[in-house]
Amino acid sequence: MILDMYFERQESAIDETRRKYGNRLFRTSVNILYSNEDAEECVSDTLLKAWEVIPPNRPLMLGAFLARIARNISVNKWHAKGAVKRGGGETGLLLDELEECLTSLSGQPEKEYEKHLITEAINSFLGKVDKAARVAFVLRYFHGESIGTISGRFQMSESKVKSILFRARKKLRVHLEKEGVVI
Amino acid sequence: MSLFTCIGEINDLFLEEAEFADIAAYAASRKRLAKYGALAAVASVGVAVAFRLLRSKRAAA
Repeated sequence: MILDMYFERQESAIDETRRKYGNRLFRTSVNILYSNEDAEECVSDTLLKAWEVIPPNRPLMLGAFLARIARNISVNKWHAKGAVKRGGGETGLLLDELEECLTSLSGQPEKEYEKHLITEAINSFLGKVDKAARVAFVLRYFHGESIGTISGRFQMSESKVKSILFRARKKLRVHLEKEGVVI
Repeated sequence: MSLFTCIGEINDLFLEEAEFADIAAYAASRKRLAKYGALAAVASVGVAVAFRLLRSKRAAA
């Protein structure tokens, strides 16, 4: 088991992780960054980070644990690249779509508390919606997958996927309002 | 901070589900369920009408 290799500090754990999860992590990174080179770098950073934090951490779902690290690194890199270099791109589109749900958050001091509150609200929202809407939402807004990729995987038309996502965003907005998150 | 950032912290279970869920099969089963549900509804209306007719016939006799 890969986790045991981390706990035994076997360096082959990194190669094994790259072999098993590398493509998946690369896909998430490249969806956010639109650069193979940057995405490769993010995957390497993710593996390094995993090596640093396991142990003491023992994630129950290694794939999800790594995906979260890769996404956070990719998003930070995307921000660091600056608005001018970013251009439109799919990540810009994702942000525009999500802006319908939550346009502004209050100031800096309550940042962490707000983040926790919003994350909890998103989790409870995802727990309530239909499975197809949930999976489409995660693929689109966590992994940054394009509508075309999601429609291919769902074997549905792009317009159907767009409508699933539109309804999900609308429900999320209502949910966030109910939870007192939307300002 | 944005909603996009917060989505990065969602529950692991949702990430795993998104990775492995077969939505095409799920959608097909929902469609089948809806079809059979509609058939069952039509059938139950048919049975109710038949009983009512039978009852009115008996009452007339």
